Amino acid sequence: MSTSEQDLILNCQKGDLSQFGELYTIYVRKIYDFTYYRTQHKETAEDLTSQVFTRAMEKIKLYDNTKGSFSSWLYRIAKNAIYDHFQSSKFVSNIDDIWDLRTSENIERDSDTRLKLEKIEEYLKTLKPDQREIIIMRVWDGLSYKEISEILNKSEGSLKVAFARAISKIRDDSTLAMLILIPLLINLKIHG
Amino acid sequence: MDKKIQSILSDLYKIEPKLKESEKKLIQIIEALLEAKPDTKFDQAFAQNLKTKLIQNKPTTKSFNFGFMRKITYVISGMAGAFVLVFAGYFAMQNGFISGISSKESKMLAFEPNIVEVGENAFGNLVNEQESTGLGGNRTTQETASQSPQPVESEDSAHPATAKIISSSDNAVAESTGAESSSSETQFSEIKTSSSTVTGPAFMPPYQPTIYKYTYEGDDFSSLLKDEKVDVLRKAKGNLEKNAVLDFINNFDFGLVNISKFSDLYLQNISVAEDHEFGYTIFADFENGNISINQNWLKWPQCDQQCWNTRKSLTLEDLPEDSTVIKATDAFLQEYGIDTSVFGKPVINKYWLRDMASAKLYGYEPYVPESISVTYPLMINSQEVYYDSGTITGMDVSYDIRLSKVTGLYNLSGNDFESSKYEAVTSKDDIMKWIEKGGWQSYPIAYEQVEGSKPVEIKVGSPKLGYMKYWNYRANENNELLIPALIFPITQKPEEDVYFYKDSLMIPLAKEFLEQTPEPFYGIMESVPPTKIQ
Repeated sequence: MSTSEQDLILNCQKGDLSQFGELYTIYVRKIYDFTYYRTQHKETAEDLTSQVFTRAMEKIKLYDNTKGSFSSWLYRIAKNAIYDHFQSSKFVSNIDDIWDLRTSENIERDSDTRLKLEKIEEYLKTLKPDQREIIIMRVWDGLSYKEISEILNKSEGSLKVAFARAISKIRDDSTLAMLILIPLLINLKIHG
Repeated sequence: MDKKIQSILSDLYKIEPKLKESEKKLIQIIEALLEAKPDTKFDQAFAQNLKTKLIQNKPTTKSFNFGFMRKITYVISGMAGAFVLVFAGYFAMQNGFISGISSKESKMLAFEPNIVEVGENAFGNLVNEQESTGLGGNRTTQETASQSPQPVESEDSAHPATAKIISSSDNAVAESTGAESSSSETQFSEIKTSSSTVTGPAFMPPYQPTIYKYTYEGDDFSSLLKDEKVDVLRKAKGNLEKNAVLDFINNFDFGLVNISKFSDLYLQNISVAEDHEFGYTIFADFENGNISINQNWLKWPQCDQQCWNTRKSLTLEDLPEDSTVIKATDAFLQEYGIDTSVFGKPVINKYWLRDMASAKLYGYEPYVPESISVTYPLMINSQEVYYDSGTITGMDVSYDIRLSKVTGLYNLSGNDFESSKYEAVTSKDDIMKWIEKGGWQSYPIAYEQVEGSKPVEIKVGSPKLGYMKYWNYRANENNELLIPALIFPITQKPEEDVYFYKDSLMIPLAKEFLEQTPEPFYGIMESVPPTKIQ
């Protein structure tokens, strides 16, 4: 965290919330993207982003820099907001994230995003929710293991292992898919 | 290979070296994941709106909720008698008639911005007629504001006419703070004595007709011009909430005052003074909606004639550290319960520094001010507000260097606005033309026609969004407008030129402003001879 960011936080904690605007400017894009990757719906992501910063502003006095960076604290608020969003949604049964949706369940998603994700969705769906989360945090959010460890409250070592296992699983599944798919294609070609 | 992929693989191999055998496959997977990363459709307008809402609706657990109280005000307006009783009750407490409540537990005085939307073009023409015709223009917001009851900074100007004012003996040279520009007669005499304390040869250099050539050297700012409309704000008048102000006044120590005698009067303004050493006078103007604090001159040490005759002028070594001054002004605001959360980071006004380089160049004694002015920038929609001269506006607190004490507070006012949409400037070319003119306030003075005019290049950097404070006259009525504007910092200017004062160029984004074609103004062309300050 830069000194100026620390100053901004300290001033906000002292009651000078006019400086929260500068913190907001630094993080709004990151938090919005974070919520979008997990909801895949623009309006929902905007709503959640609004909730995150409102909560952060109200609770900034509780932020303790000895327990992690300010960005991790914000991401944790965002993660909780997303969790609450899915838990409280009347359109879906209890799910941890959007990848847990069953085909019969419907929730608003941006159509272009849905199309773009079709290719990898089947692989991500086979992963455990925490494995998916690490992959998305590392690859899409671009977070370091240190940041992820602060957000998820897990050790960096365990996260690296989980990430390696998740990638290995995708590799194995895709290899398996190819093994099934190639004979099928050959068969189709012969008989087609 | 992409660095990001390389980094991910490197981490993977440290955990599971065998994975390197499948590197090609792993790269395909990571590439596929990166390729599938959704476009999040991040909307800048959403971000800006949310920021505005957050700042406007920030938690007010510490501060007094002005918006809420405003509604109550409508109900209880005219009930001044009631609050006077409360006020009198407080004094009873202060003097031991009622015990157990500390005066410092009073609520903080906060002027949260409150903006109400009205229809499009609701304020009529924005630009004053004088300026739109190019006749007798150049009446700056600051000149205008100085005629209003609200004390403001008196800003010097690049124009020779103003330069005469700067060099005249009846005004402070450069450190014209809010305190010094007050209409108070006593303060005025202070200014006179301040300037008279300058010793040794003190001359303003002769003004040379100058052609300022403005060059833009910043980034492309087209993205700041995408809106077809801008929200112009008009300040509501008389928006001081009486009870809140009285809560605030309770923070001062007036001794036993029987103000119940005034209960039958309509409260236009109130002026009360602390009756002890270094006490203050507080003036709350409910009709114009502002508050100021001054020294109670009867209770502050005064310098008599003999004192002035023997008093040495201050030198640069006498100037306190910025942090010392800010600490003192912050402590003052905290002690007297003024919430600073609606303001930005305080800035110390150092206009007097302009004189330093010139003094060195021309070999005269530089002016060192007796007091320092600290501005707490007003923030509206998370953006700063500037005068059209390019000077930041806000609440000003003055600090006396000799006494190491805060001597006054000015420009504390309500922040209720109406908001109306006006056609916006969308053409970068139009903006560039006005940069070449030196921004909104500067007129294209025809210096080229004066023999011996020297060209000087002024460099201008990337702009930020903010507001330009502008006084609009219509049918004998003055209205304070905040016009969305681009604020261009001046990144290079002639250090030795004391007549060039600007730190920023203001370009209003309401189209009407940039449609004006003011005529060149010749009325102040004569060169000013060297003038002794004292």
